[in-house]
Amino acid sequence: MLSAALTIRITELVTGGDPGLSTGAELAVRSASGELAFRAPLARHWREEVGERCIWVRPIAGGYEPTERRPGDPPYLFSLNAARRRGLTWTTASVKGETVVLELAGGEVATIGPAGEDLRPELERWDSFVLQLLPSELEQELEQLEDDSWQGQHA
Amino acid sequence: MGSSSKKAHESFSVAPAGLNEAPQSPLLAAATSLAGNPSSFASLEDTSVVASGHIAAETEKLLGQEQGAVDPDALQLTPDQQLSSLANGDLVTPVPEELPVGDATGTPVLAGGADLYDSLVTLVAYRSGTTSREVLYATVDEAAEAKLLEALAVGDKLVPVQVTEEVIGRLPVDKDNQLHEQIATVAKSVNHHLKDGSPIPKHTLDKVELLTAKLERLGTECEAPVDKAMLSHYADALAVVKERLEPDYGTSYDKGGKVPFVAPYETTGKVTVTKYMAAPADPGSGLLPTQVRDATRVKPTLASDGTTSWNGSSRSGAKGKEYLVDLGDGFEAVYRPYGVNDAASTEFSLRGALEITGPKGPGRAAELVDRLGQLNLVNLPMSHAEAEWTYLQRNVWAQQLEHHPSVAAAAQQAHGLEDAVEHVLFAETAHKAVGMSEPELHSFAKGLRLEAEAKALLEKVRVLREGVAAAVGLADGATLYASSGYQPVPRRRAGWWVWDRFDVAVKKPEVTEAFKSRGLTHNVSGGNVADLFRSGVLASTERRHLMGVGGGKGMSESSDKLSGGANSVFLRVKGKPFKGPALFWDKPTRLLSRADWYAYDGDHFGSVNPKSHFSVKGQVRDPLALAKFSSSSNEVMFRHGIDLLGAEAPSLVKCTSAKQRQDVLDVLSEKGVTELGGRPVEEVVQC
Repeated sequence: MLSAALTIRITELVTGGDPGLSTGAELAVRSASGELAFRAPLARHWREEVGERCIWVRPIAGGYEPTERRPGDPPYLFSLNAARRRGLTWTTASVKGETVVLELAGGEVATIGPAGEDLRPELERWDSFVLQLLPSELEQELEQLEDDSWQGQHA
Repeated sequence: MGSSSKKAHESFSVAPAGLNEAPQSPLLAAATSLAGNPSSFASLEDTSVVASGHIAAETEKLLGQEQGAVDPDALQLTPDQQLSSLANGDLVTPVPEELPVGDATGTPVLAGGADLYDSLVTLVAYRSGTTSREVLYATVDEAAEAKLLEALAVGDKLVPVQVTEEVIGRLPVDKDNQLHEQIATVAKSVNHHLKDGSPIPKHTLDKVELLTAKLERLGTECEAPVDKAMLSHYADALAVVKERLEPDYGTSYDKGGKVPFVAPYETTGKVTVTKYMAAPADPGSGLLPTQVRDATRVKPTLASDGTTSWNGSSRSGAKGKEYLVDLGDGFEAVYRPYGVNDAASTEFSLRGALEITGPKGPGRAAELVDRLGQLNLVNLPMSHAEAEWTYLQRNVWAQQLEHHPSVAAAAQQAHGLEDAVEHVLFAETAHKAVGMSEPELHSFAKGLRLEAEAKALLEKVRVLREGVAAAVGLADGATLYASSGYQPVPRRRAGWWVWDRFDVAVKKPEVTEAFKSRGLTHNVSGGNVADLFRSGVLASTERRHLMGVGGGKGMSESSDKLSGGANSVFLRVKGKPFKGPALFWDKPTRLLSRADWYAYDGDHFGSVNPKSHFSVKGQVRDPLALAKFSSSSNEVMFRHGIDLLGAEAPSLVKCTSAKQRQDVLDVLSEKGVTELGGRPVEEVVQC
């Protein structure tokens, strides 16, 4: 289980805390030797697996400008199959400055920190997609972080 | 294919390559010699002389030594006749004379050679009015692109063309004043705080006031009706936002309180733009006339009964460029080259994608496949020898045998065989090349290569089979071939083919015992789980694109890489699910007998950098190791997808409600499915 301080810190990073939607978090995963393997902004929800050293997050992926659109259609969408949940199974967890550092069971090192400037536009587009376009019931499903695949609209 | 398709339904029994072969063959000796001294021209000549006189005898001997299911006719074949037999009748997946009309998953055919990704050709017969339209889909391997392009006459001069396009855009007043951006921002903020019950921050309230004032001011300044319509549209949207700010507003976020999507106010107009198109190529070149254009996709319609239709002309736009190739007689190919489409900006699954269409009407499948030859691509379905070669390679990968000394040695020997045979053939037939023109020489050389590939195949299979047998502790290749789990032909699953692994077939009880009460699960979200059973497949993103379902049309390859791969579906080793919607397989060997799965005991993030050692670190392909997985975030990836209605059906379909269960049962009833995995559907579908 994560400590209360770590739980609070991850929640602040992911949700944006007091400043709200103007900030957010990113996930970076590096090999033990420091090689960057993965980096993406994070959707504004996460959860801890009960009884396990594992947290679930949703890196934002699969964004695209639809190739066919009519006037008034959303200009940017996401494939929710691409923006699938990812699990971080950790062995040690700590805070370094503003960043949460998780040493993963597979030997990689994951960091959750403030989203870089280059990732902010995609995070903003994701917020627009979720907070404006998705029906609230789909939004709730996303937040449960139980999905292995999506069917239907926005799959 | 044309002529070969006449034999498509004939049954052939062909001896496996080189069973019980004890001494090293002269051909193999030639290959080994070649591999051992590749730079020695003299040794090449010697090798040719040694091997040339023995090919016929060697091949006949190899065929004749098979025990058991030997086709007597095959024993009498000369090597050339054997080659012809491979080309004409010994096909693993014959091209059907008729395609099922409206079948969204299509009919898969395995192609010979290595030109096509996964050796897969998918033939789809769309409903089209009172008849059908048949389309061939395949993805060209990047290594085969060069020879495909050699067949095309692509104009190298660009000429300006005036094109009228319809454009969508916002009004200048809207853009200059950032009206949509501002109202979208306040709508998002209000939803964000309504959802978690926190107070709306002052900066959002201030923005609402400023926007209200701005809309009022612009209302007095703008006179054009279209501007007034736009302002009215945004004022209405802002009123919806303000309603949520009232102290007595009581509708909760998940019961209709969420501010709906505020659409940008957009209008359409026509503009004339200058585009530079490739000029038609020299018609006398003998190559295929080719135009370059913006990329497109066939735009089929999926009906509620799961059938697919296409009118033959409707296409949706896609990001990238494509070649439109006139194959003659009403046949066309559309190809999206790797070379002109960058992975970062081109739409996902488009690079290398090839489609061939023909005139309206049924019965064109064989000719569609045959037309691959016009593009310099192998247009013969896979032979049994090629199938066994593929089967062995898949098993080497699945059982992680590639580094075993006997397999590594076999692979090295097999690698030199094609070159060796080509040298032999060249030595025998070089005199025929005298006096040939350059195009004739190209054709002659291409023919030699194809013949060499075919003639070397039987020996390559024998060599690899021996290597694999030694690696798994069997006496020889014949013992391996005779073992109960050895099935060197693929099994059809929905719209694709899967290969089995022979070790799991033998270890089934052991694997089942190791899993105990656990199995493989997959949680389904985002809509009605019944839709999944309407299509009948749990399909990867890539396959869904082909079927014309799902979103993501426009997503780039680089974006998809973050997802960890769009050509697989993801399952997890876990106990029976208590809540749905979820699928559960209590007999994991039902899926683990496939040779295309791999797994990690924990999420894996290395896919962005596949060249790194990091990308496969921790990868598991051993089912007994898989059974020991302990992390909730473990993942088991299956290529293409899973056939939910056939032999790979889940043992449990867990629904969230009685209604959802009934929806699934209704869909299965409509499709005439009464059992899943041999059990009544009412038992399998639960809530």
